[in-house]
Amino acid sequence: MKTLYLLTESDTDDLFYEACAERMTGAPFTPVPRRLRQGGGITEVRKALPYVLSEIKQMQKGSGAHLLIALDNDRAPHAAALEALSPEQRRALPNRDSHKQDRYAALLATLHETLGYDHSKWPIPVAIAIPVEMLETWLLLTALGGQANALPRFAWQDSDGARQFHGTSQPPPQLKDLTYLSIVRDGFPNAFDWIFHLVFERLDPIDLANRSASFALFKQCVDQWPHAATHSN
Amino acid sequence: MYELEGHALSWPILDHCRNDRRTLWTPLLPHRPRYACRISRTPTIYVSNGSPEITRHIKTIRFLHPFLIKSPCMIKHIHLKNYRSFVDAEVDLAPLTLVLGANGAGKTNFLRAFRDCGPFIDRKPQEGRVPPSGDELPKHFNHILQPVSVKFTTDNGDTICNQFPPSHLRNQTHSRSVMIFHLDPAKISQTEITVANPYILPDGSGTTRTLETLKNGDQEELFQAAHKALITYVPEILKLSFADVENQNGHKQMQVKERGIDTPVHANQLSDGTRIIIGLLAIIHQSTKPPVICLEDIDYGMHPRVFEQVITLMQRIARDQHIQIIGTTHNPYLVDCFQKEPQAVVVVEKKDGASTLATLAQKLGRIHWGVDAPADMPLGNLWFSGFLGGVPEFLRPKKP
Repeated sequence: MKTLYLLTESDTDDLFYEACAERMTGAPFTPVPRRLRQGGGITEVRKALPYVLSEIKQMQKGSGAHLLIALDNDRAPHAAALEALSPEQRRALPNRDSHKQDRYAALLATLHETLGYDHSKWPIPVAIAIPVEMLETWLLLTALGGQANALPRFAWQDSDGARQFHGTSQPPPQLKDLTYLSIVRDGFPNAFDWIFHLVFERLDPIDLANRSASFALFKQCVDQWPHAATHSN
Repeated sequence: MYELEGHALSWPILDHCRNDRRTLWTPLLPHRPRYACRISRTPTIYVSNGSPEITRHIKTIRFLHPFLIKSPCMIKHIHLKNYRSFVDAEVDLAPLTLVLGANGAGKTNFLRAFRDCGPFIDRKPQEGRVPPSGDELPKHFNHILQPVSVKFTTDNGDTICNQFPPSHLRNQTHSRSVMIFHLDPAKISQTEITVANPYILPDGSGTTRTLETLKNGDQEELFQAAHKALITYVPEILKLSFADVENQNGHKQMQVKERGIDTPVHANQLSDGTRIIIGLLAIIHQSTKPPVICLEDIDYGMHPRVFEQVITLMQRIARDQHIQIIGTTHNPYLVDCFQKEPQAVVVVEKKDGASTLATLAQKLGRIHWGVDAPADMPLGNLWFSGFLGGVPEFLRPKKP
């Protein structure tokens, strides 16, 4: 079984991306989860990357290590994803969000700096996952359909950021509010079972890629993994 | 002849102390060789339960320097075989050792090894229970018919094993050579009756009377040391004091004077975190400390900014007074404080039902760097990320 190094921010991320990798390649993986401190962003990835690469180097040849790095976009600009907030929309963001940099571009630059510009010469297959705005976006698109740019941008309805962005004291339900409602509506006892159900029973990678450019970028990475199954194509 | 503030210990007595292997003579400076007194201006003091002559000297020294009286030996290495969740695990220990691991990995069992075999660590006969033999120690559930062994190697070169205790240790009884503290804030701040020679119990009971005795007895310097640390860590507190309880003869209550508040506040009104800090300071400053102090959740209720000061104080007390402090934590910020001594951090992990032990230094040593230089990453962050083990393994749901 191939090894999947997961550099993520939570157990939920691990679960989703492991399931996604299996669903999209048709091959089972042994997960090796490595955790980034939440909110650490690209700085945490830069610090952790040498350790991950060192661990992978020590693995036996032929063990088929794959690396998946996942960060939430969290309202940062994302030049490669159409559903990201436009510069005009970003003006309504709270001060803390308005100064964020493009994480996808920064992560790609870090990988180029570390592994080289020619992806075909990278020592291991790598996938970058930066959902706009967070993993719940992709989960809700799978569960409810619709377009990524129609979904809310914040985690919780009662957050100050959501209030400021929407210009009202009672903004609409946000991503984690809707996720919670969906889990309850679908009758699942917890998020983990619901995620597995979504990925293995309802996820159509091609369809989701058509509705979310950030997922399309992730899918593109996984599709380039060697010996990837044609399941997702 | 060696003079100590007007009192004398003769060289023959010191030599006798060094050569007597039946009683454990502990030098003042644990990191010095046994001839430290010859090369250092700092006196070497020996603690005895032996001859009346030495005991008399010790009493004098205790009066002058109560905080200089040492416990017998420092454990440098522990080897557990078939003990509780450990099948075969060993690790080196530091004077202040931090223990990490996921919930259920075996951290508490690790501490219990010291408690269960405490009588072999501190070889001073005291009242209490009889040391357990190998048959009495809990075994790993999967190897119930195999022998159990808990072996300590001390800094004076002795190897002490529960199966083969030295003959002079057999049938000795003991009470408090090792204590595992799991502090309860309510017990720390409770009103207590004063007693002779008080000490602190595992739940923090005895804190009030111990500190009160230090303050009002003949060991005020110990109280002042604890008090100074307290007002440094919790600047809102200006003064810690004790008051008689009305209509309860001999009962004392702990109270504090807080910044900006005119009347003293009863300690039971303080936050849990502040009371825990008081309890910790009392434990490490009490005059008759256990030689091995185990602290469950050493950082409980404490602000991360205070960690560095608390850890520095504990390290100093452990080294200077030759006691061993072993604390568990789940806090990466606390682990960061051990950045320069990863050998003092023990990681407990459970693999296939068996707990394993390794220091963070060993874990770091197993990382082989290639041409890529590692980025600076705090030790706590490295541990949290999972690169050094000791993190929970997420149980995945069944695939549909």
